[in-house]
Amino acid sequence: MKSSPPSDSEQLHMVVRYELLKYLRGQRLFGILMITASIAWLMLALPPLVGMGYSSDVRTFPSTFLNFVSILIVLSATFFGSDAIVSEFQHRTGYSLFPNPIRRRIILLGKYVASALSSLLVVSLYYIIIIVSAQAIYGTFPDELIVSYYLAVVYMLSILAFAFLLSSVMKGTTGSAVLTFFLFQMILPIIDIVLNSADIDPWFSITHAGGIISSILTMPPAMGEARGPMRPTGAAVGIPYPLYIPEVLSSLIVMVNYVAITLLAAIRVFERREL
Amino acid sequence: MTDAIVTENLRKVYNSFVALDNLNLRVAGGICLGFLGPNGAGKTTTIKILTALTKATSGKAYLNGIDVTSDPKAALSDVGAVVETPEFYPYLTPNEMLSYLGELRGMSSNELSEQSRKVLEEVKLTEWADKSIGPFSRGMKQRLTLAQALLHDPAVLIFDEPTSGLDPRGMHEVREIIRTLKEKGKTVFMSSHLLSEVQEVCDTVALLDRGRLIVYDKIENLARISPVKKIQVQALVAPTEGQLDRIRHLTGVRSVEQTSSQVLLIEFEGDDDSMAELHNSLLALGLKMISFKPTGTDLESMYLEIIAESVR
Repeated sequence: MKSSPPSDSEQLHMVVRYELLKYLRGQRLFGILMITASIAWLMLALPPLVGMGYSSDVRTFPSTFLNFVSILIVLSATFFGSDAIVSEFQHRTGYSLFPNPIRRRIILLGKYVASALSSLLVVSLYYIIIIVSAQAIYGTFPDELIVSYYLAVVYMLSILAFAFLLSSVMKGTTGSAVLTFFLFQMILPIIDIVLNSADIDPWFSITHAGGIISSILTMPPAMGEARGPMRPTGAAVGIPYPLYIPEVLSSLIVMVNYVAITLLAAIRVFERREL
Repeated sequence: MTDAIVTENLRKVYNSFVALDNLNLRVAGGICLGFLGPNGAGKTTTIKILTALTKATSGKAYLNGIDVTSDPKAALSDVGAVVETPEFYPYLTPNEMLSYLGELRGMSSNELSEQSRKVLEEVKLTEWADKSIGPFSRGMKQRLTLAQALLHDPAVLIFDEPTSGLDPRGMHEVREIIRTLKEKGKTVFMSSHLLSEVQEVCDTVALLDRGRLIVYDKIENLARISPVKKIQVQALVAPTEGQLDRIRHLTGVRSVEQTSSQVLLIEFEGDDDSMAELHNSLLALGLKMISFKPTGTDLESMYLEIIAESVR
C-alpha cells in the first residue's frame, strides 16, 4: 500500500477536525460556553433582583456587557490556545504525530483554526445574548454593537495568535496557561495604564487596541478618533491622568499586525523546536 | 536500487556535547539492522533526525532517497516509526487515533478500516479498539505505537526500543512481528539494548559509540571479532582445589570463577570444536557435570569487547 500524503490544505482540514473533537471530548468548549452563559445571566438577572432595573439608555445597557468581552476572549485563548503546542512536547503526543508526513506549520495552523472557531462560537454566543436582550428590553440595539462584534473577532484572533506563540515557546502547559491569562488580563493592561499616566500613547499595545471593543460604544465619535493633541484628558472622564482612547482604524491595524507577526513567530519557533 | 536509509556526515551538537560525530551509514532495502550502542552513543538522536523530530547540526539524512532534513513530508511518506514511548491523545480511541494518522497519510476510508482492524489484531488490541486511550497501560500504548507504525504498510520501519515497556509475552509477539516484516522484504532499522533480541531478529548490526560508527557488519561476521565465550558449568559435587587448578590449565581457558560451591563460570576462547573438547576434558577430570551452558550471546561478547576497546 503506497498512498501519497494529502495536500497541505486537506491535512489542515483533518487537524482542525480532530482538534475540535478534542475540545468537545475534553469538555473545554462546554465549560467556556457555560462560563459565557453564566456571565450573561448574571448581567441580565442581577439588576432586577437587587431592584435596580436596567439603564434607561439603550447605549449604556450593552456597554456594561462589552466590558467582559475581553475577559471571555482571554479565557478562550487560555482554554484553547495556551496548551495547543506545548502539550505536544510536554505530554509526548508529538512522538506519535510529528513522525508523520505533515508539515509542522500545518499542524500549528490547523490547531489555530480550530481554536479560532471555538472562540468564535463563544464570542458570537455572547453578542447574540446582548443583541437579543437589547432588542427584547428596548426594542432596538445600537449599530456600533455590530462593529464591536467584528472588532472583538479580530481581537480574539490576535490574542489567540499571541497565545500560540507563548505555547510554542513555553516548557509546560500550566506555565503557559497562567502566563497567557495574566499577560492579557493583568500585565499588559497595567503597562497600558502606566504609559497613559506617563502621557505616552500606547497605540502599539494589543490590549490597548482591544479597548476599542467597548469604547466604540461609550466614547463620542470625536473622542474615538482623537489622538495626540486632541486626546481627551483624564479629567474629561474622571480619571486623574491623561487617557488615550484607541481609534477604530489604528486598533484594527495593530490587531491584524499582531495576528500576522505572532502567528509567523509561533510557526518559526514550532518548526525549529526539537522533541 | 536506492538505499532505504542513508546518513552522510550527520552531526548533532547539543551545546558543547557532540551527540553525533559525522555519522555515515547506508542501509540497503530489505535488511533488518540492529542499531546498538551504550547510553548516550547517539542512537536515539539518529532516529530523531531520521524521523524529523530533531534537526541535524550538519550533514544529510535520506529515507528512500529523499532528504529528510529538507523535505520531511515526502521523506516520511513511506516510513513507519516508533520513537521512544509516545503518548496518544487520551480522548481518542485506538481506532480514532489510527484514523487520524492514516488520514494524514492519505489512506482511503476502506484501507483505513481494513488496515486498522488488521494491525490492532496483530498487536492484540482488538478488544480495546473503541475504548479511550486515556487509562491504557504503558505496554498497551507501546502496542498502539507499533500499530500506527504498521498501519500504512510502509517499506521502511524505524524502531527505537520497540519492546520497551512490554511484558515477556508482548516482547515475543513484537519479535514475531519484526520477523514477519523481514520476511516481507521490509527494511527494519531497530535500536535496542537487548542484544539477544537483536541477534534473534536482525541480520546486520551497526554499533555506535560516542556518536561515531564503530562497527557495521553482518552478525555472523561479528562473532569472529570476539571468540571469547563464558560457559557456566554446574557439577553434582563441588570440584576440589586440584580439579579447579587443572581446569585453569586446560587449552583455551582464560579464567575460572567459582560462583557457588557447585557452579563454575569459565571464560573460554575457542571455536565450537574446542568447546566440545573442553566438555570432554571436564568429564575426563572426573567432574560430575549436571549442565554445561554457554552464557550470554556472541553479539554480547563482541559488544563488550568493542566498547571496552573504544573506551581505552
